[in-house]
Amino acid sequence: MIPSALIEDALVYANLLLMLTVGFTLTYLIAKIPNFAHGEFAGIGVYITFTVAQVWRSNPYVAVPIAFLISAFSGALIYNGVLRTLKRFGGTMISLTISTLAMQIMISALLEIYADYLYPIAGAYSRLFLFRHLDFEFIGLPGVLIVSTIFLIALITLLHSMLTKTKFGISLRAVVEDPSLASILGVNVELACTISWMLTAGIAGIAGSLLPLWFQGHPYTGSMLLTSVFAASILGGISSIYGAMIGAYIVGLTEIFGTYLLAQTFGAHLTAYRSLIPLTVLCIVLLIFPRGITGLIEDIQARRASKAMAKFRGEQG
Amino acid sequence: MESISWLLDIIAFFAAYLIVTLALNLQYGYTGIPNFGLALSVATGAYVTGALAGRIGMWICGIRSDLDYIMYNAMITSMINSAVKYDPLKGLAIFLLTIIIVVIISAIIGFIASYPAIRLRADYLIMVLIAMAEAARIIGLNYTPLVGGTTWVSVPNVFIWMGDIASQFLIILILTISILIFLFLQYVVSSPYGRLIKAVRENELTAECVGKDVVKVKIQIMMLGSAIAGIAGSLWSFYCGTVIAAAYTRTDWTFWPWLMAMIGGMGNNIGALVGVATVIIFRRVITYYKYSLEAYIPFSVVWLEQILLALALILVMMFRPQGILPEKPAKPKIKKTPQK
Amino acid sequence: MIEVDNLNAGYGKLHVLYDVNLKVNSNEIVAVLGPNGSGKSTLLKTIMGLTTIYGGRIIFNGKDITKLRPDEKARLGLTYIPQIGNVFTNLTVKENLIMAGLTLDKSEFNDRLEYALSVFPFLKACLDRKVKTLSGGERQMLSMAMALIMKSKFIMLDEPTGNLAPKIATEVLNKIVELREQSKLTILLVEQAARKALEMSDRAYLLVSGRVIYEGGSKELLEHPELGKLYLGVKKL
Repeated sequence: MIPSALIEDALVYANLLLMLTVGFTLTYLIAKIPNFAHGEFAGIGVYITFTVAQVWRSNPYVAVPIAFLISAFSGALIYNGVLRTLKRFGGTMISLTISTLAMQIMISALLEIYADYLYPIAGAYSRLFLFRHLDFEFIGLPGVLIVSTIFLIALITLLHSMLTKTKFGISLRAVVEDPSLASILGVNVELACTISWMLTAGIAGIAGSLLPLWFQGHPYTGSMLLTSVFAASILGGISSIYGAMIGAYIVGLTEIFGTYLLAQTFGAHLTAYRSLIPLTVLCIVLLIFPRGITGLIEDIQARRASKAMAKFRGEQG
Repeated sequence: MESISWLLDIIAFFAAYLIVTLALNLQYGYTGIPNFGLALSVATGAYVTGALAGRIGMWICGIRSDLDYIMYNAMITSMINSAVKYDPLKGLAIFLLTIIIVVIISAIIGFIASYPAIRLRADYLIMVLIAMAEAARIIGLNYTPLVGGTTWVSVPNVFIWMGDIASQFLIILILTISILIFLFLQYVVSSPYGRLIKAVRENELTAECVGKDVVKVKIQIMMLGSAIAGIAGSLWSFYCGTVIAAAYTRTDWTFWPWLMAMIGGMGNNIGALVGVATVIIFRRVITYYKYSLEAYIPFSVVWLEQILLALALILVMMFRPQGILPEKPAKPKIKKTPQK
Repeated sequence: MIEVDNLNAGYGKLHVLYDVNLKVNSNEIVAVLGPNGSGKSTLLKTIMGLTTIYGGRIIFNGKDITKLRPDEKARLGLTYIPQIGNVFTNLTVKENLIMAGLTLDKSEFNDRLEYALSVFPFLKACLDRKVKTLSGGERQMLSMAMALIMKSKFIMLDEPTGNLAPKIATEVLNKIVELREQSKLTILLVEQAARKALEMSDRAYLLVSGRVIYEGGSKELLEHPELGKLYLGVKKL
């Protein structure tokens, strides 16, 4: 009998992971590099919730829009301040990647400073906290589960219709494929990139702001989530947003249920090794099907097409 | 004397980081493999040392093996130290055996860590290596029998028989080993194998077309670099006398070496030397003036160092990506033909 | 309409164009000819703003546009159709046409879309297909259709007949001349097939190793006895 609390754990985690992974994959598609600072946008969200809930003593959900704005702003700052400037100075792909690592260190350090600074003001331990008790309940389900699921559905539908039906969305996909051609056709590529960085960072911020309502928040939440985001993104197929969604759910559920199973079988102390699960998923994917689930589907389609072709030729010849 | 011990401490720091940076330079500077999981190899060296040096000591010195190594660690370590005090050969044996095992295990770890992604894009490799380095830390922190988990493990003082100059000797030894590794790597990069790895870095496709097995070369370099970085971790543990699992962070043992290599000049062993020296002096200055700094800045110096690290990385890439000593293009040796 | 003054440009540190002077008057068709690697494509790309400019100016209808971004130039009415990379293969045909009509408002776009589809009717059947399922020739025609939709005053075409079968190539070239008549467009054309390009253009420039070595009327150049030698840069004028 699987405890309902575990299912709630898994769903909340998978929801938040999905938000993060979609943003990570979108940024990867646009910038062509992995953004190692992506987790830190969530970290910013975590600490905004702490500020709102503990310092201002307000409803933690107030933190959500604030986290969106501040994380979005940080995303714009990183893209324009660091990445564009580096590109102007002749940055290569690897140096842009290193710069995102540097930004991860910097934001992480700033969050630690902020946590230290808050401690005397907040009157509570700012390096480890949980706000489940401040959440509301609705039809027996925790508020964060409902809110994160609603956000999820909204994110998926809005993203899909934006990318397929709006001029901006189609321009974005055009920029992903060929920024030079998009520019010739009248797309302000830098503005499009800035907006998408702001969106993805903002969404990560929202995910981070919801996190402390169910899971513990601490200064390195961001970097801890990053391994799972990698695994989810690569499992889905790093060039597919829909793949990212599937990958996130698989990794998220596997992580929570897997840890539970290991703890049941080998003992509770095994829960500390939780982050080895996404790492294992990552290695398995890279060893067996590095193009992820999207790659597998493309292979199956290609095989079907060539079988059809062969059949057609067989009938002709 | 205070100032001498301060200087010797810097030398130890310098030597250990030089070894790590040379390993990184070999992997990224010469072969083009971006290893952001360096801390994994260093930690492996340290953890193996912490886990095995004492246990080897127990075996060599004939100490009762029914004692749990972690629980009675302090007692066991002092028993080993007493035994080694009067029998230098035992100390040397522990040291050498540990180092040999460290090299082997670090090389294996280098293989395991790079294997999943070595054929794939650099991005994937970076992601996997970062994740593996984190995994190593988590295992070290939680698997208590390894290095005591969240506490620590003591490392036997294998040169205790030297008396007062034991720690100074160890520092000179580490420095010597680092210089030997430097010379070894200089030899490697100027040999035909060195040209091969540079060819892999410049244009993998071309190297493959002339029949070179690029993946095999990359794996070899990852194993070699990992073994070298492992040696650094091991030596550092002997120097500190303890192994604390949490200390092998990616900031300390991946990112600082990257900055050192970049500032000195990637693809250039002498550049690594310059880079390590520059950064270490800078960091020591900050640590030395820590208390006066903390009067001006409202937060811990640890975070300031990290922010400066991040800034330095970005600024170096913007303004001087080739480092202080850029790599010089190789000059082919032209034989002088006799004039008719 | 467009004037290029002493233009020096290239890619990063690679200097390709040296002191190029060029002028295209309204409603003209001007051809740029030259052997491979002479910088013809680079010239078009530079006018559009896709390369590094070391010196010189580009003036469009009296306005200095040298430092503008490509998308800003597009909005002013400059259109550039590259030789390769002129369609989005991961987008559908319809989405490509939408991208072409980015700067238009809805009714104008619908009118132009209808016109473009009437010129290339085969596109009507594959509107929802991804462009990567189209053949090379079909893609080329799609890029021509996109050119018809764009709000252009000045079109730069880089080897528009490149991938096409000779019969279709002739059709496309005729369409281009039609365009000039109907929509009062100005056209700058890069072509390897020198003879064809000279037959349909008013004036021509000959570019060799990044420098303009000849400029004149197309008729004169066609009848020039040393055209071949000029073309290969052997003879200097």
